[in-house]
Amino acid sequence: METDEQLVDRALSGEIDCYGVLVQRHADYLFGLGMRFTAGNREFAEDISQQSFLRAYKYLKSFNPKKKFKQWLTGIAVNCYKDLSRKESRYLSLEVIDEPSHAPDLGGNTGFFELIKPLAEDERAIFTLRYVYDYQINEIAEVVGLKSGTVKSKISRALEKLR
Amino acid sequence: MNRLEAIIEKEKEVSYSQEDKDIFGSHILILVHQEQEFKKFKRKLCLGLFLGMGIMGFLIPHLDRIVNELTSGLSDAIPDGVFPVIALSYGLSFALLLLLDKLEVIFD
Repeated sequence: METDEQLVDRALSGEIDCYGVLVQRHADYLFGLGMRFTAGNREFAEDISQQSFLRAYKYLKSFNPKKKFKQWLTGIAVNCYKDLSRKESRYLSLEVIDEPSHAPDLGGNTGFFELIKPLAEDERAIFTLRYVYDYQINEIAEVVGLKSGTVKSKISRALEKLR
Repeated sequence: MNRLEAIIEKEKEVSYSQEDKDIFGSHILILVHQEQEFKKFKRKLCLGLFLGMGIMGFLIPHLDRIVNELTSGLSDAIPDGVFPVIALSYGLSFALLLLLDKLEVIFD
């Protein structure tokens, strides 16, 4: 089986179907990230996933093959999540309105979704990566483009809120 | 803290899967194709505009002379009566339409 980095190389040389293989391979992962970041909003999670794959293709040339594709994709997903949250107020309204017809589609562990709701966008992303996906502090710093110290303080702040 | 750990441990066991992964993958590839085609179109448009501006820049200083030569030439060539002029106009329009139709081939 070809590695992600080999597929990226082939996609860059014009074999667009190779990018399709990458999409298939990481679709569940990105959707899961989206579900966790958005506290179970399926529509929002799907949009994050779609935007992340499109943005990843747009910037594929800038991908450093010495690094892990999945980690690079995670960084893009975090940015897409933050951008979409800011731009699209319709996603936020889903969290505010309590009417059953507007309730987000919670398909997973609702305890976790309720847990992270008090957190700000970047805190949700960092907290999820640290504790659910077991990323190291330096890895998160690289993914989200922050200093390790800032990541640590954001995690501490998130834990304070959740206690 | 134990409650927090318990919730996180439970969440780790949950796996999420993208619905209709094949359709989702095809949809992404279609959007990527669309994006590529749009980029190509933009490049062609920019090239066309650039060439057009160049040609206009070349023609405008000589416009008076060109128009004079054309009209004087036409007045000599066109016999009396309006029908031949109409036929000529339609002929020119048809030729331009054909040229526009072939535009893709010209750019490629």
